[in-house]
Amino acid sequence: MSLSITTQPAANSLNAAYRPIVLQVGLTAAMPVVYCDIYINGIFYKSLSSTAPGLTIRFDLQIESQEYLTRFLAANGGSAILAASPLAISIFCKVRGSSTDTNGFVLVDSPIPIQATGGTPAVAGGGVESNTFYVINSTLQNEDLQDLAEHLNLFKSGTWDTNCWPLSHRVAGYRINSSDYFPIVTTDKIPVCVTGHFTMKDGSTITKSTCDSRPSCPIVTGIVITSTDNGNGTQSIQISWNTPDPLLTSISIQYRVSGSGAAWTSVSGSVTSPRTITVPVNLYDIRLLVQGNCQDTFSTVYSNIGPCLLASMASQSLPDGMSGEDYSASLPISGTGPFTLDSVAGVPAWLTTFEISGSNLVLAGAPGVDDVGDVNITGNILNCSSGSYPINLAFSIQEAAPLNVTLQLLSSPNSLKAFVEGGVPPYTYEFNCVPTGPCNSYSISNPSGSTSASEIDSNISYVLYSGTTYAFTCTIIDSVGNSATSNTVTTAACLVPWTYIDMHDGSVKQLKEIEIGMMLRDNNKVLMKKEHEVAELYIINSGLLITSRGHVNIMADGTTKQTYNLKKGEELFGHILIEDIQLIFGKFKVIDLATSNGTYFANGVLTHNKFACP
Amino acid sequence: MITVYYIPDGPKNLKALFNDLDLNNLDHYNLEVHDASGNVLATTPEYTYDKPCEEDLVLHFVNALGPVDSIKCNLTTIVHENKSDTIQVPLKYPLDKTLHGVNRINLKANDTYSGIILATEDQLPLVKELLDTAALWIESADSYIPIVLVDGKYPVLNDVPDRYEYQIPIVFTLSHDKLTIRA
Repeated sequence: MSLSITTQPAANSLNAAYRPIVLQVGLTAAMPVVYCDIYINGIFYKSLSSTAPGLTIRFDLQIESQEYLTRFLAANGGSAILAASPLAISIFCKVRGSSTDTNGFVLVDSPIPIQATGGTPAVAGGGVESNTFYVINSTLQNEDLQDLAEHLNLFKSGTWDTNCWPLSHRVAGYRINSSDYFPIVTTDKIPVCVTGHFTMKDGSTITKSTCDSRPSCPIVTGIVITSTDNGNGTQSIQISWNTPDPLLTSISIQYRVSGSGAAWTSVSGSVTSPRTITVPVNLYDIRLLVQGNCQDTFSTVYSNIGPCLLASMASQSLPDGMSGEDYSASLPISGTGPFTLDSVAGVPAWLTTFEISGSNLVLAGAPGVDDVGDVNITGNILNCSSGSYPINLAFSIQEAAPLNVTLQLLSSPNSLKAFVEGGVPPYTYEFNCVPTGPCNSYSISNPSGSTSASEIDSNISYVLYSGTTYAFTCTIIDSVGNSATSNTVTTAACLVPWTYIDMHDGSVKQLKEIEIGMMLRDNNKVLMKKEHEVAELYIINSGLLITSRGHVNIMADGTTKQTYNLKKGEELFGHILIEDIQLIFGKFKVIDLATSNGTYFANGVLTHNKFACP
Repeated sequence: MITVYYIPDGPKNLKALFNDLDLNNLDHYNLEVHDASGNVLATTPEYTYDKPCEEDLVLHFVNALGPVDSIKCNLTTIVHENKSDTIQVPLKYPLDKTLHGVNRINLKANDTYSGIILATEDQLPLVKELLDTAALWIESADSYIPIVLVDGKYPVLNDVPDRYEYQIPIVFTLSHDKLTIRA
């Protein structure tokens, strides 16, 4: 059983605390409990848990964000740029799963995090880690733009850094006459100076600048960083420094994976040395942010901190591919990077991508019909100290399934749908129509083209002339030249010869006895009559009507419907309930009529005719 | 590392930032904020300087985006209101005529302030944030006093022809009742 985070806020995104901040977890199998450990500003805060059944679990972090964030009131009339730290936090979560032992007790599958107490250090938790993102004590419920950063961008006027946003909806012309502060939020900048552009009543302008007059915070000296592998996929990084200046109130340890260029994760804390952070095994860049009654100061960045562990892979198994279809796969690598490939052999020419991307071995390419067969790749993955891990990858490229296409005739709207199986996409297709009979009129909206889809649609229209049938087919050619032609679908629309037709004089005659020129019920002249042979018949209500597939029926509401689309429970004209429809196969003679009224009565049921040729 | 910064930009703050700035002749202004390398990080909107009047009050409130914002208000009335229960106490013998026979207890008193906020139409959303805030303060000398808005229906937008500025009435009390020394 395993779990993964399927939905989460984007990395380094701004989020409002008063709207859903959702982390969705996907499970491969149901678990008794799923835990979500919330880390705020790099420190474990609290855990959420869910015992909900199912394979999708959702956690909403807004309540925890709201209870952590508070207000900040600045000194009245002050002149310093103030950091209002209670108003924004960085958050990430670690999601842990569980199982049940034979006694029914729940067993967690990753270490449980424990907060530090007076003399006891924190215990690092395990689990699948989410993106790190930011939450601000904001509401957005009534705003058009629900993305906080985009919403705040609307209130920028003048010059702004892309990673700075205003936290006020004030607009130009804002009246001001006393103490006031303009709140801004930034993810990676430190404001130090203020420049004022003043317009006086006489129209003259003055520009004045001032910078934070406080001295820069003293750089902490004697920094020593050591890393210890905890043997469980995590490492403890201890940072110690000389006793700092009493001016300092806080030292934040900031870290990120070396070479990632990601945003710094910050763990604030006391100035007392040493302090330890526990992070997944990797190489990290580390720096200290020194804060106090002074200007914030960063220390030097210490790079590539961490144990150099050998590369390894949980699995080297790869899925098989299909000739003519793009192949791609990715295998995660654990250990300490940067990883490189060495002594690689057996990479086929079609596999155009075989490389290491971050912590993954990536394969991609497009095998052709000549590339069917087994693939065996050998080589080594080297870690940060060139330690070697052997790889032996085996998979095969299989021949594509035979090309086959099946065609269906659909109504509402009249259309053709071709189902393509096998072959090597993309396909070129062509819909064809062969009309038979004295006259015809038809069109195909999408007669030919190219696609990689397995279903191809085309609207069609045709006039059902008496004696005319339309036979549709679809021809497919795949990318390697294989071709296939579909079954034929036809539009014959007729009744069986023994159907009784109401005549103008009140008598009835069987359909086979009807002649051109005869007058049917309601002064309705027979214009044309044609016989066809069909392979299937539909028997409605045990013989009330026996028709071909495409016969056009008049429904109770006056609309028309072809027989193959009729359903039990529907009503024909005259509110005749359809109670039963049977389908029989064989060779049957059927007859269609074209009449001057466009309709006629068959077995007492008003039905649609076919048209006479113009 | 995400951080919210408060940039001092009120006239009272400017006096501390630029002590030679002549506020009496100031009409309007805006500020730019720079990092240590001189890059512009942020620019404030353009502010119109209003010379303070006796009746002016500045309301500082937690806005919908989290930090504390401020809006100017013209004070119109202050109503002082008190409520109490009475208690009759037994008298001593011989009677001390300076002692009360009936005293007030559970005395609560507070001032109710009424004012008017002037706002243009595009400033109304910020006024509504003020009306809906959970926490606000008025300025008192160089500090703040917490106040509480009185719940009610506030006419924010009245469709008056040719009106380009709206007057929004506002009513609030001090957050702390007055405490009376026990007699």
